[in-house]
Amino acid sequence: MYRIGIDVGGTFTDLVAVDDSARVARAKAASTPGDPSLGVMEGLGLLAAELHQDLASLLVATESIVHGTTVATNALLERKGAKVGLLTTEGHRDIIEMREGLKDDRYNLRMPPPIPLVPRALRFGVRECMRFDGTVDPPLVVHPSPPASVNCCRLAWMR
Amino acid sequence: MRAMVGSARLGEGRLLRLVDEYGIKIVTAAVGEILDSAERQARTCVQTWSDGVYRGEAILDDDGHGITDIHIRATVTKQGNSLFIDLTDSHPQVTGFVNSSYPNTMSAIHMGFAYLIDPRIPKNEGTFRPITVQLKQGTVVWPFPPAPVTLSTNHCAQEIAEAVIKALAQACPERALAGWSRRFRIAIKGKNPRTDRPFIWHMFQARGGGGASPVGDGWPTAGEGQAAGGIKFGSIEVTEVRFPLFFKRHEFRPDSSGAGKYRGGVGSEMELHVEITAPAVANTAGDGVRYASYGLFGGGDGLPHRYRLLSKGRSRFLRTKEVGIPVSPGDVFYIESAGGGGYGDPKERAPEAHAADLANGFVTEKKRQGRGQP
Repeated sequence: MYRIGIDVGGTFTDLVAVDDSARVARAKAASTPGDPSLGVMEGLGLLAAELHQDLASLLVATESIVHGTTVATNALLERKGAKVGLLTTEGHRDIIEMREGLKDDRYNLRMPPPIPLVPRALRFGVRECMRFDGTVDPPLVVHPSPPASVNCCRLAWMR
Repeated sequence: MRAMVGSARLGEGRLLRLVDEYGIKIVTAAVGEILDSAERQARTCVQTWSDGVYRGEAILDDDGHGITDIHIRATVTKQGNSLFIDLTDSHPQVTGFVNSSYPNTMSAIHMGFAYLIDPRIPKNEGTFRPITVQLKQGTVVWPFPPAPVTLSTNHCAQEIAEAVIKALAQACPERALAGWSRRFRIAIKGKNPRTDRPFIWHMFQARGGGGASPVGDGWPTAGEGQAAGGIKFGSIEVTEVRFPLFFKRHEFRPDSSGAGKYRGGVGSEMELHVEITAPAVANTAGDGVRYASYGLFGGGDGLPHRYRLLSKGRSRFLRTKEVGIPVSPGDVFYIESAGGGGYGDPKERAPEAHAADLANGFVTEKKRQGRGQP
């Protein structure tokens, strides 16, 4: 049986298959950022060819596939992900941008502050609060939906 | 204290191991080179600044004992790769605890210098060799004993650094920094009704804003300037579990930053309910309800601190150096902390940056009209 590891990077998709006797086969395909699964399937096909089989027989003989990817990291770095809004406890919507009062490089005072992934205009306070002892006061009041310009919404309650 | 002794012992052990391995001559020469190298880097940076004699002044609100407008005046002579910093024209020493001891003043001068040079230059004895300092005993920056100096690591340390930075701003405008908010903290002592045990709580939340720089806006809520983003306020939830406090609101303070090509970082607004059942007592320590974070090169000043205590239906403004403030069950602190100063002419601010400020509520329409911005 094979175990397959896949690394979907920004440029290449790298694949490794290991069989029961620890023999290793490798393949490399171009990544397909629009739909990363295409690059993965192409890579699996190349991996099968490397092992002189077709894709179906390789998959039948595979017990596990583990994959990791920089897609999420790249989306954060390149800011190309969904437009995100944030619903949070009323009165605390800036907590993510306050960064607990810390600045990364103490002596570099010519370093502009980071741009938050969710801008302040898309952070909405919702009336709800859990007190120190677990009491809910006041209970959650569902607000009108966030503006249609947001296509992903994160909930993060304080407390 | 034990951790400090422990780390000193560990350092001693490792230094001795180095001496064992390389011999005292090589180790001493290497240490010398570390210091000399930092000096060379610092002097290379200073060399690029314009020669001249420059003056900078920063003013504290008061000493808490009736003395107000306490000035720190720096005359800085920059020649070649050296600086001569003269603080002798500073305010006479004062009654309250904002005097600064000689070593503290030296640290504060070096802090201002460290903020101005390339941040990658190591900070050691060599870094500060380009600086010669002149002080006069009997002034707030070098008092005769037994003058109280308890607040000096914050104030007037920050104002000493400010005076140096403001003076040198003219020599190195591309490195100079607009003012950061000052410290204004509250400590409350009382009995926690949930545990029936005494508590002392020190407020690190509701931080003021950072000053703008020649390359960008100031950091929001990263003040005080003497720590420049080095003090963490921690988790609101944990604070609420440990102390009889309820943070009803803790957000940015709109319109608090100084306008500019780059604006200052905003300060905070905080509504803090004290959930005690027996009277407690509070102290304040800080400065900056009258003097705001300064703007540079056409940038505006930030808004100063404004703290109120609502107690038994009466609201009053808090001063920065009060002791024994009675706090009653149900009292609420309304805190508005200072914003940072702006850098450069607001008319030069990128239109998209200004539009984002309005959209995000950092600047409101009201303020925009008040300041005559484009």
